[in-house]
Amino acid sequence: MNTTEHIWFSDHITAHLAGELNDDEQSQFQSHLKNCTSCAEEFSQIKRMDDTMRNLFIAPGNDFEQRVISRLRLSDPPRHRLKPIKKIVIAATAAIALGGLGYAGMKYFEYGRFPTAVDADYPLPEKTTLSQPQRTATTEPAENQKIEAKLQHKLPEVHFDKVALEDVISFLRDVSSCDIKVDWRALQAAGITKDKPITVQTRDATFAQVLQKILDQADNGGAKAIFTVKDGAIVITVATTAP
Amino acid sequence: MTDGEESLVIRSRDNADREAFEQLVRQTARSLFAKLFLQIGDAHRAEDLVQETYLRAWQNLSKLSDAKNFRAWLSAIAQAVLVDATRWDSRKKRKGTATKDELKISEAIDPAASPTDSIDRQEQHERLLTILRNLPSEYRDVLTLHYLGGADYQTISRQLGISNGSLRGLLNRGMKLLREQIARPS
Repeated sequence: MNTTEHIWFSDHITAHLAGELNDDEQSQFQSHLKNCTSCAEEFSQIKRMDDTMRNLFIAPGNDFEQRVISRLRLSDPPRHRLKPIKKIVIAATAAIALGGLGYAGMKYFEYGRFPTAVDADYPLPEKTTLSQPQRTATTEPAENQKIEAKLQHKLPEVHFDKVALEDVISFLRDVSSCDIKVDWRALQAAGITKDKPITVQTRDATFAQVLQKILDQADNGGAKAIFTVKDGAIVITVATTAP
Repeated sequence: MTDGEESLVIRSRDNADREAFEQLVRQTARSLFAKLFLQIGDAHRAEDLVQETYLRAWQNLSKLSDAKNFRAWLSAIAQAVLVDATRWDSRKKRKGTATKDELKISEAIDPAASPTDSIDRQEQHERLLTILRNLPSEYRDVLTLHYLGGADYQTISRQLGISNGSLRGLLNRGMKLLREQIARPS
């Protein structure tokens, strides 16, 4: 065997291990391997190194790009005039789409009503109280069920550090693709302002739990800020307790 | 960057064309993942960071003035995401609680191995990463994309703009370098 053959063999070891040789190359490779002791030794060493690399490092799999894209599809299209959201650190918030483990019961969050409804789209329900859920799952429109499903998804990590309430909600709207409507007039009447600084850190909490934590922190000792699901949107307002 | 890629960036940015952006993700995500994996040594965490990077990129695409700089701009976002995540981890460490991701590193290596084996493997994992980080870039890029990113030859050739023949040579010489360096006493 001549030098060229040895060099050719050496240059094709990793391609062979990766299954990247065509039939002719494979045949040439095997023939050389069988007949050349020194190249067989080199092959053995490279193979051990290749095995080590494959054992130690977990490659992301063939569907990696599709996983990234699927989660990205839950986000809103880019806006050309984004409000600056400062001091926000979010790791993997787009994983709203994942999760699905456990659900503490969104109904807990759905006891509110609209005591000072300012928008004709959100008329006051009759006699809604804290102990009286507005609806049951069986009668929910499909659009609401979609929102509730998103509220169940877990966020691996969320960290807001003194971020204004309005920006926090804008951010959640962006990453969740949920329509989030805020009854600012009702909130402000209860002493909850748009610039209320929010500091929240959670890990593996559901979107619903994160939102409730934010609203709990926004409370100003007066009426309680709540959210509910209505007409395919998350609506944030203040609760009125039963007399 | 190819003309096709530049055109995809422009369509994504100017028309909020989601399909074009998804094509960009297909062309760049594995390379970005491999770089982050090389930096942090944890595949699960690297994937989360990749996800967050594309989310930020998508939302802020209008701020990219020159489409030719897309890859560099994306890398800058990835680094910012990594810094943010590291700050978060540091805070957790200061509080004395290890994060799940930190635990995952050792668990992912071999959950069935004995504690000693696990430590050995973890040390080997760290050592190989260190060697990879210090290889000349032409070898480091192909090795990380292939072994850490799980990319096949066609993908690597396309992403790095090199021929299949060149790739074979680079991978082979890179593996030899790696083998030589791992054989040296640490």
